[in-house]
Amino acid sequence: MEVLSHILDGFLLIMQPYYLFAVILGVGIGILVGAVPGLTSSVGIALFIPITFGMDPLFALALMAGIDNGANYGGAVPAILLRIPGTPSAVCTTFDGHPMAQKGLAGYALKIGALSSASAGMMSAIVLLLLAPSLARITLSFGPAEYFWLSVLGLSAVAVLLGTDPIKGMLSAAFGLLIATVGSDMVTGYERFTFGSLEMIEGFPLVVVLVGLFALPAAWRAIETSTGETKNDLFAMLRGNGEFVWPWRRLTTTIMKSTGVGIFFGILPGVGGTAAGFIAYNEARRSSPNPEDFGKGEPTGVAAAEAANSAANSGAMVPALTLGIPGSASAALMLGVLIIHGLQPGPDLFSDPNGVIWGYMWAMFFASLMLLASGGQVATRVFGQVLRLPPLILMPIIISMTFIGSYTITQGTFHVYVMFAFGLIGYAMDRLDFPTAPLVLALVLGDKAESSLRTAMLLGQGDPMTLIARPLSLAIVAIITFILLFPLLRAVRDRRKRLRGES
Amino acid sequence: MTFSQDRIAAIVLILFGGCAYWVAQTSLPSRAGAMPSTVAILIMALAAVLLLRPSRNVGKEQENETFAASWPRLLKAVALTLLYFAVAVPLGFVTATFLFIVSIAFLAGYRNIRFLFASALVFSVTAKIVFGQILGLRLPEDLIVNLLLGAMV
Repeated sequence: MEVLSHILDGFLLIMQPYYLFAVILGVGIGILVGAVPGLTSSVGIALFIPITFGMDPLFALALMAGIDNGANYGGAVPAILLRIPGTPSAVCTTFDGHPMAQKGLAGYALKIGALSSASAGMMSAIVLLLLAPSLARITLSFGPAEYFWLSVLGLSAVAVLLGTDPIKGMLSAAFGLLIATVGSDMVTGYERFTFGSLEMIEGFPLVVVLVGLFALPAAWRAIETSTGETKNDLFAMLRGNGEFVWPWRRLTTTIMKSTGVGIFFGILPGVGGTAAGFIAYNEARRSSPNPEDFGKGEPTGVAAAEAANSAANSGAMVPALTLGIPGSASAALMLGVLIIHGLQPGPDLFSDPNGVIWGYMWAMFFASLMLLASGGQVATRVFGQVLRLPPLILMPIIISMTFIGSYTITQGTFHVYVMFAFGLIGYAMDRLDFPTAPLVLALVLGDKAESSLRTAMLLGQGDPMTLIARPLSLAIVAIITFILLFPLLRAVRDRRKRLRGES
Repeated sequence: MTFSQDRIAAIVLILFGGCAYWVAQTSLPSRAGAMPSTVAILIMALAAVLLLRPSRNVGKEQENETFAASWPRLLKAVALTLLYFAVAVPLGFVTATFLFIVSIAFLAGYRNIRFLFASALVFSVTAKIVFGQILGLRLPEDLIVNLLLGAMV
């Protein structure tokens, strides 16, 4: 009953025009960001975090929820019109979305994308509202040792399972942990790696690192590869002239099934929307009466991909809000936003008397609803046009936004240069296939992991066995061991398969 | 053993981990230095694996993508960004942003000058009004713009 009352309070809170405006604004910004190839929801969130400083936390979170969901759908716009996925999770949308556009059905493909994203997003937001509070209660029995292992679990899962190379993922996480130690040590007060600089005493501000890592590399890359041409043929493509009959029954089944896939894989740390999109797409093709139509402009192919990646979005927030383990890069950023606004993941988050988190979860729902209202017509008539903006003008504007974000934190240029340095690091990491999400997560979890470890050791009078004294700790350690051994087990399995194939 | 980008990255990371370890050991007491030292060792160990393992040929390497698609364009973009950050305070936000957008787009090959000047002007002035006036964020003051506005008044 208590949960239901919180859900109702959160609903009444988000229904205030001020917060609904934040959601609508966020969705608009998100679709614009997602529609530009190379700019992901992470870039959008990172760019707008600094601007939300000093704002009402729920307004900031509602804005971010809008950006997150909007960008997720926005990625479908260039995927359908240009066969360029605006965001990585829109890869599968290109398979059938672009062939539909070539048949003169671009407008319908965009509408199917919006409908699928919106329905899946709303269903997964409801799952988030119902599942997260009960899952958070589990953490009530956690002590410092469990919290330490939970941080290690989150880092291992994201480092090993996200990206193509576990070693690079782990290096990225370790690098983030080292950066998290910069600044005054919380126990002894010693300054670590500050080199006498007063600005470094509190460490690197999370927001500066996020803006540098995500926004600058994307802008530089776009300037580097842009030809300066604009796509003038998009108007004609958007108008379309193909005949289309809505396959409502098949669409409904596909959306429901793909939403389930998206939520499940979204909750698993490190799997995320891209993988969920592929799995749902393959399942839709497998169970279709006409699998041969997939890849040639099959509407349910677009629906499967879009529903799964949108559902994964809210799914990824379930472990982020409850355990502090985000399921994806954008969830890691959202976790950062929560922490910046003074909200810590765990059971306390759900008993907050201001009800901010309940409002946020409803914001995820309404952001999806806005997609339904605006995604079809508006995306067709307005947001598709964003692709006509020359990237050579758009990208310096984004760089200028990064300046605004990092300069206004302290009214000084020190953090602007820190952001620039992280931009260079982010660019190198991107080009060398080092995932950035583990670094972000290590920055978010680093302090907590270290303080939990030190408290646990203090309570155990320096005995390291304290860390595995309770069955709960042992269970988490067992999961960590499995995750760390997972790439090895996968390699052995692949090798066996290959040998069997050869023989 | 080919000297791939991964191996260069591994060497940089080993050096970085080594420096971090040395600083933690020499300038921090054991309680404050334990965590950074442990993480530095972890970085060196993982980087050593990256350096010594056979080339995996996955990801961008597999797709034959080079580090930079165009070094001159990348260096220009990075250098102009740094210059913009350096002059934004002395020149002021509107002036520096206008010059930055125009110069970076022009140097990268954009030639619709009228549209470029208009977009740069509209963004820099709108951003100053929205962020500086409406949202109350303090952005670097523009000496030239203030002088012009003063002369007009």
